[in-house]
Amino acid sequence: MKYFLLITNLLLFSTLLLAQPFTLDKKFKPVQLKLYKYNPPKEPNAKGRISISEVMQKEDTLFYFVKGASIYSSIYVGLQSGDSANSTIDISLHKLSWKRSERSGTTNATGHWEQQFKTENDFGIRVVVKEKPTAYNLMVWVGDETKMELPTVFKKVTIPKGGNFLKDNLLYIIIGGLIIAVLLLFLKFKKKNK
Amino acid sequence: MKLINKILIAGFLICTFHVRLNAQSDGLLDQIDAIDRAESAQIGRQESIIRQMNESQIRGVQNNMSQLKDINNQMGQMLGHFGKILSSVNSASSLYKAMNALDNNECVPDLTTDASAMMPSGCDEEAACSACYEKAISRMNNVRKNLARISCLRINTKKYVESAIAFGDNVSGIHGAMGLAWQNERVGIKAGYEKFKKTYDAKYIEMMESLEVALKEINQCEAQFGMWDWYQKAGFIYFEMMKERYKRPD
Repeated sequence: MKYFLLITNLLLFSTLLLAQPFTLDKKFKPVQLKLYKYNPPKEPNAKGRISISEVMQKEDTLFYFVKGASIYSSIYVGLQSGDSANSTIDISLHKLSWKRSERSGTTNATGHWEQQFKTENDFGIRVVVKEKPTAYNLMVWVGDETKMELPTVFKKVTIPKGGNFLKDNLLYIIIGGLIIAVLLLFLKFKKKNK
Repeated sequence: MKLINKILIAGFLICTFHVRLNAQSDGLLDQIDAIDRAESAQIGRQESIIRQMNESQIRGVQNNMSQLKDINNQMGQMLGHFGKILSSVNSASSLYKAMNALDNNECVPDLTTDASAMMPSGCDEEAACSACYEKAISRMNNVRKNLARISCLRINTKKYVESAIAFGDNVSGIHGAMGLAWQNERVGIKAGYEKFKKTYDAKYIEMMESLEVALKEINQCEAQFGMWDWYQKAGFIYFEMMKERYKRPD
């Protein structure tokens, strides 16, 4: 919990800066896709947050953005159009700026397009339609943070167990001590006899 | 009758031509054209309809996902595609591992440790010693994950700020009117970034303190099951390496 608060605090500051792909145009108002808790009982891998939208696009271009993704989460963005035969849809994903796309593509023959990736904080989605109006469904899924196993920081080496040396060799030490004592007594006794 | 019609049409055309000529001379035609263009743009700019599902609707989808997949509609198809991706992996972590960052230049947490900074351990996965190490290692791993994350956050934020400032400077240079507005925006971005840097430093200190606690807990276990003076011999070197690795360079 403590760590969660630590990160949240820092994320809050970065979010103030990294609000969404950058633009100077104040009239430019992308739509925020709101993520809601998603936990289908039969799909444990789908646990996370999701946004599903039904869109009837009457403008050439629509801009969307998603807030608060974690770099430790999987992200899926999918678009399914109803009228794939007559009209293809161009979709692009943006990170830093609406001017530069990080990934882009077009709906396929079945009217589908999808991408999977990971990212921190916000990202933008731009949808351009050729025929107006065009109906489609847009879905964004952000999985829960992955509980991954971290690579170890320990190396396997044989450590001389200095702390247990006395305990482990006590018997030999006593025997050695006794031999030395006997030898000393023997020498002393010999000297006296001379 | 035909003759009358022809005379009327000719008269109409002559009048229209005359009006156009007059309008042109007054510059009115340009205005009419401009109004026409604005109207057609208005017609073209019909608002799109975006219906986002709310919380209860999402709950409905999650509880009936298998049924929705069978329905031959857009949403059913889309959930079907998503389901295929999920079923192609064994776990959420393998799905995550298969994914690349959205931006090729985006920082992704690097959790590996340089071989020279790796620490020896006297616990060879024996039950007795593992129990002692468990809490300390869990604390250390949490710190490692969070340090890697905030470090990437710092790198990505820096890149965003630099890119936004370069873009703003460039655009405001081209469009003079934007210059003043941009200067205010620029000050705001820079001030925000300075605050971010201070927050980063505070979090960095807190996490390094927590790492030190974890390493000292491991030291106690090592004294019991492994190496005497483990912290002085190995833990301290690792701590110093981590301190240097996540320190803000600018």
